Amino acid sequence: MELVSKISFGLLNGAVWGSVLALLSSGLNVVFGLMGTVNVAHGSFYMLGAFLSLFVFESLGTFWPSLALSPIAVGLLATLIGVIIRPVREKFLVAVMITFGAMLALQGSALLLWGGSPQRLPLPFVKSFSIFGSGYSYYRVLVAAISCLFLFMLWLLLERSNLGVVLRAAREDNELSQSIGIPVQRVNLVGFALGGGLAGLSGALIAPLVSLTPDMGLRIFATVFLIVILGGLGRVWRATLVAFIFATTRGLATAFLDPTKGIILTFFIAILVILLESGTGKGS
Amino acid sequence: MNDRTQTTRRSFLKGLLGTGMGLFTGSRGFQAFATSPITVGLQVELTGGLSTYGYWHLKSARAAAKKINAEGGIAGRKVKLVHEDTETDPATGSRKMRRLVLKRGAEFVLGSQHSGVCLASIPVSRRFSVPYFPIGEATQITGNRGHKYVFRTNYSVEAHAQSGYQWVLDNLGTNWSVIYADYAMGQSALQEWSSRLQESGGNLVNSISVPQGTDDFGPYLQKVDPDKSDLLFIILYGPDALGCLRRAGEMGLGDELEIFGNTGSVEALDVDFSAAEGLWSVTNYPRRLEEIPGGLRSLNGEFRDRVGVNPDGSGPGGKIIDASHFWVPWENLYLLKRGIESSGWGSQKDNSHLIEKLEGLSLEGSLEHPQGEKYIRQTDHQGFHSQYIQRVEGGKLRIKERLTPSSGEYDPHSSL
Repeated sequence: MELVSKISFGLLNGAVWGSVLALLSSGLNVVFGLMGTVNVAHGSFYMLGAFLSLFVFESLGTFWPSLALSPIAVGLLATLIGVIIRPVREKFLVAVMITFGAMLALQGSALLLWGGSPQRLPLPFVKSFSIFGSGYSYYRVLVAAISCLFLFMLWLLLERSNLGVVLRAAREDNELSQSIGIPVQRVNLVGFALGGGLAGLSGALIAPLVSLTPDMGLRIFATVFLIVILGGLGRVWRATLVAFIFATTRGLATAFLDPTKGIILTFFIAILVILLESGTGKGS
Repeated sequence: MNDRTQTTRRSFLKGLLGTGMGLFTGSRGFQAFATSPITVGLQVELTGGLSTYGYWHLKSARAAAKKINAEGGIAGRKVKLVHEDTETDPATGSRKMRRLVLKRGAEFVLGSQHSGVCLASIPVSRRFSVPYFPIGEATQITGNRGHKYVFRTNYSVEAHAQSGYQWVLDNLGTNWSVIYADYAMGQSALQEWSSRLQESGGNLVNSISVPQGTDDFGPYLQKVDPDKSDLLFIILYGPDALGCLRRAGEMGLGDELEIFGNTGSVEALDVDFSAAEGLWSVTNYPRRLEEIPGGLRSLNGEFRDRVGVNPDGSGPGGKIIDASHFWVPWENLYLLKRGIESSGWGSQKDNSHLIEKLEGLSLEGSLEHPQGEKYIRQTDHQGFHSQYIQRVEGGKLRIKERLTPSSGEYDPHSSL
């Protein structure tokens, strides 16, 4: 019974966290994978989305508007950063340094505005259900549902719309794309806005579930970056798969092992699954 | 009488002039020495994980320096406070300690809250013979890593455990599940508390290590078995403590178990939320003025006014104090004042006299030492003071028990 309880909890919890990690990593994948810009500030966009939710809650007394306002505000900020780095986007290191600077500036601003103490946002609703005696909030399930909905919409946008085609075309051959009339610069800005918006939405969704601190984006960035690398640049669906494997395996491994061994095992399994999934064992 | 030694009117006047000039320049030199400031370095966490602590430590040290200078300084010399940000990182902290001493002329250094920074800075203090007053709680600071220039006036992890374990056993239960931060402080606290639990016949049901910066506590808390445990002991701080408490509340553990936290578990944290209700913890100092014992309360009102802390334990912008430690820089600056004035310290060559004066010193509760009575053990330079057991009731921290300074005394691990 205890075994069943641990496995059920691990699978459900892994699915919830996996969906949020997938949403956050998909934003990074749009900017990094499809546009080739390493946006080190992506974690800070997530942090900003979370703190904006707190701001909305404190100002309006309700959490729900932040699910629209945070992604829009963060998306606009990301667009601005996209404009700033536009002249140097092809210079990999310069772009990294600029986004690194943006990360530090955002983190410092959050520290000034909200202080270093961990902040909390109450759960939007307190109803929960029981998994073998352990309470589990319905809000967590809602987070997973909203994340999956937006992942599906992103899939439609990238795979079934012109935007996805022009994003990939611009990445493949910048000059040729321009010569056939694709407004590459504008398309890239849309990519930045989309990536930032997804980070802002991830932050807003997760805000009631975690402690809000200015360095929360930095903490999660390494995991999200690894997910994107393991999944393959520009391959949003493989990265989504890695995110779910990562979160579920970590949850299950933590229930049975100590955390360090759990994290090693998690990445080992994620790499193995990706190698198997790619068929040849080399990836593509 | 030899002509060469005979005093003439001219030679007498020359001598008088020379003596006068000598006395004049000598007194100016003496005056310059007497009025040159005493430079005190502050190694502080202004950014990184412990920035909440650093914010208050800087305010506390500045308030003490301001008051001391307004009242004539230390032995007639002004205090010049210089500070450096450790970024909550041991390597940076150690580098900043060198900078304080070598570039900014610090003759004393009031140390960091971060035990890793303190341990990395102790060799610098020894290398340059600079008295160092760390705040970090790792036992080794005044144990096998300490030396004669190191004084810690606040409690170590071991002192907290020694003082509090019996109360917890008697009042909250003997079967403990411990969830702890998986780094030096957490491991050290687990060792100190759980060894005493087991020596007293209690049962360590489970010890669950958690990496720093964990967002999802569900898988860890799932390991806690409420049927076998009386108590969930939380050895975490900051966002991790908050995250753990909230998830424990969501999972219903608070309804089945008592929950007890170390000093860091509620530091600078707003506890007015349902999952924190009923939480027990230890603290060196009550957050709310009205919880301070009667004899100390009025002088603590003035102390808080000077630092900028409201009676409810918050300051500008609603920032909440790290009640267990924010008073330490203030008290340590006054400890220095006492040591310098009683030893006749004039420069670094007098450090050994100063150290002798501080060793074994007993202090009464006063505006200079608002936390209350304490003493510094001669053997290892570890301070002992009262600590409190508190509980969250109605969204506020309420003191339930005061434990005496001697309750924390443990066998020293070094003899300096």
